[in-house]
Order: sequence, then C-alpha cells, then structure tokens
Amino acid sequence: MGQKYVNSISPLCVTLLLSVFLLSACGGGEENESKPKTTQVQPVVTAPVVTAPVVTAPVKALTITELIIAADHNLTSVYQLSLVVDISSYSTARAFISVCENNDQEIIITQINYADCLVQSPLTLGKFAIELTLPNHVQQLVGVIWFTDLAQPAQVQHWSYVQGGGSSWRID
Amino acid sequence: MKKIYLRLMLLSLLVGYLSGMPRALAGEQFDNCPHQAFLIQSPDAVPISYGVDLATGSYSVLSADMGTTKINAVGFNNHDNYLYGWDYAAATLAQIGSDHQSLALNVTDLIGKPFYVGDVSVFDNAWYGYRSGYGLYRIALTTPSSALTLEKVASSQYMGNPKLTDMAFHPSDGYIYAVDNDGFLLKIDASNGDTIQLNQVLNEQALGFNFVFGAQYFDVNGHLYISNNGNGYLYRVTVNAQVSTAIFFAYGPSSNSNDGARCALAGIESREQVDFGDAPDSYGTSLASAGARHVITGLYLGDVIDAEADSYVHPLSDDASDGSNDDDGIAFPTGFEIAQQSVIIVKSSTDQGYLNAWIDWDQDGQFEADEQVVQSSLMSQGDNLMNIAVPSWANAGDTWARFRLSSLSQLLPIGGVSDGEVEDYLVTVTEPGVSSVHYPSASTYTTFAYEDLYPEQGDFDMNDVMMNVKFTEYLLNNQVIRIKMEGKLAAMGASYHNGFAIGLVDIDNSKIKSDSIRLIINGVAQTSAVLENNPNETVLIVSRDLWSIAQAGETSCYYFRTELGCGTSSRPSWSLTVPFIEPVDKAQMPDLPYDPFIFAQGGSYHGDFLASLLGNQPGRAFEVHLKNKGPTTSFASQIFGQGDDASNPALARYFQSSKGLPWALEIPTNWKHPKETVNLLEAYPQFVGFSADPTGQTNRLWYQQTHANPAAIYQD
Repeated sequence: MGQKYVNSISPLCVTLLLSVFLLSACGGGEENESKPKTTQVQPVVTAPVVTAPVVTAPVKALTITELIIAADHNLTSVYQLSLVVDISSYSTARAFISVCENNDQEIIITQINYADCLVQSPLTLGKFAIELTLPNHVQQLVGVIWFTDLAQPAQVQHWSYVQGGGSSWRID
Repeated sequence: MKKIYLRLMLLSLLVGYLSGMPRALAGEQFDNCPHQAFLIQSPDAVPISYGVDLATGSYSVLSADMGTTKINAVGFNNHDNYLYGWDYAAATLAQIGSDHQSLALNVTDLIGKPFYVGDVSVFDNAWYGYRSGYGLYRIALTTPSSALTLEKVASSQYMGNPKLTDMAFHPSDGYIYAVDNDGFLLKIDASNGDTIQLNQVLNEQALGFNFVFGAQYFDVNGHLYISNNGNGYLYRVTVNAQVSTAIFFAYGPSSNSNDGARCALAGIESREQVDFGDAPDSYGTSLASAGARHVITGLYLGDVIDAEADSYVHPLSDDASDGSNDDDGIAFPTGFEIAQQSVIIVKSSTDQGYLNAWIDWDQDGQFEADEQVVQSSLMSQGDNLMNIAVPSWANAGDTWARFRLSSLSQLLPIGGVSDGEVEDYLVTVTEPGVSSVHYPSASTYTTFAYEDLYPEQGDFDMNDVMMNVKFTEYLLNNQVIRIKMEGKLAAMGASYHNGFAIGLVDIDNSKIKSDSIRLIINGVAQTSAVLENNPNETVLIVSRDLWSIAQAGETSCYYFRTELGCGTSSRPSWSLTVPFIEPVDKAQMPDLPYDPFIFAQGGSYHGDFLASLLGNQPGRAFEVHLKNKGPTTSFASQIFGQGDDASNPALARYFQSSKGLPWALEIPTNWKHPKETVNLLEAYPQFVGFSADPTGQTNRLWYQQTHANPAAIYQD
C-alpha cells in the first residue's frame, strides 16, 4: 500500500498544486484582470470536486501486494495496561478483584458479566498488581473488589481508554 | 372395532341385567399405547387418576373421581387399550376407559378379598392379580363383557410369600417383575407362579426411607420404573438377572395408596418442554442416564430457559447450537480457591424456588453427597449473594458444577422434576492465592490467521488456517505456575495438511511438568506427546494434522468454513493445560499470546517449491509464525530468503516479505474472516491505513465487523 499510496499522493498533489496555481492565478486575475477572465476561470475553482475521486480511487484500487509495511511493524492490535490495586489503607480483609470488560458505567455490580473477565485475583493484604494485555477494541473496564464477608459491600471502579493517554489504572 | 365393541357392550348390559349387577356403558378406549403412565391414588374415599410423564416425574389429574371408592391392581391392556383394575366397592375386576370411570365386570369364583397387586399381560390378554397369603390369579380378558372367571395360577406359599405392592409384565420376555418392600427384584413366571428372587437393587438403610413401591411399570426397552409411595421417588431398574441395577430417575407424586399402570410397549419420552443440563454424562445429564431435568414453568434461573428433547452433553452445547445461552443464572465474581470462601450470585425468577448445588471437587466425574455446596436454600426473586466454602481436599483444575432450582426443596443431582431449571458450569478451582489472568478474556478468543504457501506469496485471504485461542495464566506470588490454552478451529481454507503448535520462547522445556500436561480435543483426552523434545525451547503440539479433527462441508465443499454454503456452527475444539515444575517469574514469561504457529504434517505434500528446495516434503521443518516471531529449532532455516520471503534473522525480522507483508496475523477477537480467495483488503479496507502506520494507532480497530465489507466476509 505504501508504494501505491506514495504514487497516489503525487497526482493528487499535482492536481492540488495545479488547482492552487490556477486559483492563485485566478485570484490574481480577480485582482488584476477583467471580470470576463475571472468568469472564465470559475470552472477551475470547482476542480477539487472534480478531482475528489482521484483521492479515493487509488486506495480502492490498491491491492494487498502493493502495500509496503514497515519491517518492524508487527501488525499487533493490542496494548498494555498496568493495574495496581491497593486498598490496604482501609481494608486487609480477605478480598478478591475481578476486572472485566464493561461499557456501561451505570451497571449494577451483580449484573456484570463475570464470565468475561480479564483477571480475577485475591488481594494480598489489600494489594494486587498486574500488567494486562488488552485488545484494541477493549476500551472500558470495570473493577469490582468483593469481600468474602458479604456484610462488607463490594467496591467498584471504572476505567476508560484514552488515545495517547497513560495506560495505567490504580484502584485504591 | 368399535361396532364390534358396541355389540359386546350390549351383550354386557344384557348379562349385567340378567346377573342383577349394576352396569353401565364403558368409556372409549385410550389412545393406542399411550406414553404416559397412569397412577391411581385413593387419598380419601374417592380414587383419583393421574397421568404421569415418567421422563420428568411431572403429573396432572386426569380424573378427580373415578366413580367408585378405591381401585388397585391396575394394568393397561395393550390388546384393547383399556385399563383393568380391582374395584373395591364392586368387589370385582373393573374396566376403565378414557373417561376414567370404573365399569365393574362380571367375574365368578372370587376369593372374597380385594387385589392390590396386578397387571395385564402383554402377550396373554389376561389380567393377573397377586394377594399375599392367597397367591397368583388370572382373569382372561378376551371377551371382557362376558362372564369372567378368576383362575388360580399358584398359591402364595408356592411362590415363597413375596411381599409385593405392585408388579408389571416385561414387554418382551413375558415374565412378571416386581421390586418387593426390601428392595429385591423378583421374577415370576405367570404360567405357573415360579418365583425367582434376583438381587437387591435398592436398600432402605442406604437411602434412609421405607420402601412401598406401589406403582411399577415397564417401558418398551425393558426398564422397570418403580414409584415409592412415601416420597414419590421414581427409580429406574435395569433388569439384568442377578446384576440388575436401579438408579433414581424422577420426582413423582407421593401417596399412601398408589397403583400404576402403563402400556409396556411405549417408550419413555417427554411431551413437555423440558430443560436439561449439559455437563458430561458421567454426572447424570442425559435422559438415558436419568439426568437432571426440569419441566419448564415460570420458575427458572437467570433470564432465559430453553427446552431440549434431550441433553446436549459436553462438549456439545445447546447454547452453542441454538445461539441461546440459558446458562445465565449463576455468576462467579470470585474464583474458587482451595480451603477458602468464594462468592456466587444466583438470579431467581421468583421467590418460590429452592437452590441445590454441587461441585465436583475431586474431579471424579460425579457429584457426590459431600460435594453438595448448597442445600435447600430458598431464593429471593432477583439476585442472591451466597458464599461457597471450597474444601481443603478439592483438586485444582477445571471441574463441573450443577445448580438446580425447584419448588421441591430437596433434590438429588440427577432425576426429573416438574418445575425449575438446571444449569451446569465448567468452573476452575485454584490453589490458595492464585490469580487468573486471561487473554483476551475468560470467554473471548483471539484469532490466528495463516497463509500456508510460505515462502511463496499466497492470496492473502488469511484463512488457510484460522485458529481461535484464549489463554489463561495462573500466577502465585507473581510467578506463573500453570497455563491453560483453549482453542477452536475457526476455518481451514487449504488442502495442505498443517499442524498447530504454540511455542514458549526462551522457556526451557525442562521447566514443564510434561507428565501432567493435559490435552483434550473435542472432549477426548489425548495420549499423544504434546511437548516436543527439543532442549532449550518449549514447543507444545496441539495437532499434527488439523484435517484429522475437521471435515470439509458436504456437497462440493473443499474446505472448512471458507466457501459459500459450507458453513457449520460446529468447531473442533481443544484445551491444553501445562503446569510448570518450577514457577516462572511473570517477567520472564513470553508476552501473550506467546508464539502460535502452523507446521506441515510429517510426510504430507506441501507444494513443489519446498519439496524441491529441501529434497523432500518438509514436515515439521516447515513453519509459519506471526510476523517477527522466530522459528523453532525444527525449522529448516534455508527456507529463509526463498520465494517471497525476506526474513533477516540477524535483525530479528521473520516471516515477512520484502514489503513487510506477513504470512500470519493475530486479530484479538473472534474474527469474521474473508471468504475464500477474497483478500484481506477487500474484506477490511481499513487495514491499509493500519498497516501503513508503524505505530499501529491509525485505524486501530480495522478488524471489527463494523469496518468490514459485508459482501467479502464469510458467513455460515
């Protein structure tokens, strides 16, 4: 694709440059030349519309063997998230954390799909840490800390992916 | 038949009139050999007729008043499709039609005592009755409206004074069978009363309640069903001489006065909407195994319940085949750690149900009494939080759990019941303190897609081999003690015979506890070697030939799930559990998803190019890995640089062309793959932008179905 992309940009640039040139010439004409000449160049002003398909056509015509991919681009679609849990300041009771995909910030914790979790772990004196590998499409998580003493209410926190943002999550 | 019978009825009326007995017209016959059992109970002074679905134990009242005071010793006559039983008020044998009204028959030579044990012979067209202290008697039913005679077959003393409360004729061998009040199976020759005591099939002391099997029936397969009066428990006896056996079968109605009849030539089938579990059949899941089953009512777990004609035992699943997951009533927000408390969430549709649950802690394939984790717990409507204590003797690993909700408070893990739901779950038990880390998640799969023409360029439909895999690492103190990988073959658009393996780069195979590796393919434990014997690396072989576990579709299909009209929801599946002898620091483990790769089956044809290059078919020397994942030591490194390959091991660049194109991709979802010969770009145009950006941030969701060209992706 890369090579074709480069090739496709060149005529586009030529077209745009030509358009800019013509527009400049046109613009210059508006300033310096008579109206009839200005009127004559109007079709050129609309040229970008005419040339718009030129932008997309090469992409559609691109074949996979024309792609050029960086040698070190591994084509993976995952990212890393560093999770740290530390509730030791208020509880070291036996507790368990489940981190699951969830796109509903208002979800009731009993209705979370616990069969679809990324990590389930007991806390050690209120602490736990792990590096998670997440698919790109997993962009919101919910973490629920359950206490096996059911008299203690479960704690819940949400996390959302932010492009370009930090890939860490601290629950405390 | 009916005209003839009307004449007989008129004759019967005449005889009745002449004999001075009260007579009436009998009702219509029953349907030919009905599948349901008839249960006659007399709780008060009026006998009630029930229809019982033996498959589930569910029952309904057929008649609340049978027109007399008490009826017993009932049998179904397959010769005329009427019931016959002893009418206590009329003190004689009676005929019962589909209106469930008793019509007394004219029988002579009576003994002055009623019969409460009886049945109709399958072959003889005669009713047989037994009374303790008197013996076995016979009444021919060839012309039931005429004068009948009670004939003595054998004395009670001759028969050994058996203590019977009902008996039933076998559908094929013609003998009478009965289970007495001590749980022994008896076999009686109806022609002469010869009685043989077979083995004891049930034991009162072991079960903890008294036996009075007042209703006994056969099915066409020769299974004897016996219903205990006191609790309504229905057992199924497999008749096999001195090694006959009985298992619990269903929860039926109980009564202190019980008698049953059934057409012995009918099979056992449920005509109702019934929910089954889906654990392996060793747990008692299918109808043949008297499995857990519930008639569908408004009482159920979760939000969904669906019916099956019989169970889809593991690895089959009705949830997969019908697309409706009704195992939605139990959630496991915490793990099951040995000797620790865990938490479950139970969702009940009403506040009328009791929960009973079992977990096979010792993983022996059965739910035993000491594995019952919830007993007769009344549920509230909605979500119920509960603790489950994992015993110290539980084994770590995957095992099955069964949850049953019913208005009956006490249930066994098997047997039919007239309401509620059963849900079976595969759960994981871990050592104390163990974390479970999943990739992509506990229930979703990533996809590995391969082109197998390497090192020559293929058509980039990326479906020559497509494998879905999910990974779980079990960590203790931040060290990996065990890994589990579960996979499903998603597609195979190639005729070459490829194997599939997963490598653990830089993990010496001496760290693997090889004798504890567990590979299961399509539910069957494998005995073939999984761990390759190459030092300094770990290679785990899932299959040496994926075509050995998959089949192309029928009718002009060459491949598996790549061609139009060649779809199937069936996926060859596997599970691989690999324990470590010594835990491996998490930091030293290769990144997920490790190094999954395909290789050629030994000796199989894999193209002329490689045969020419290597001098023979490549077998294990051929591998295709994800881009920039290095080969194993079995790989023939002379393939590098051949054909379209531009690998450069010195720069750690592997399995890519001179333009950086791969022969394998990982897509971290259950990917909708391109159709056969449709290349990746036609199916997923956004791959262009994604591949052009070395950071991978452009079109980072290119693989999602919402970005696919619908006409270019494969649909089942």
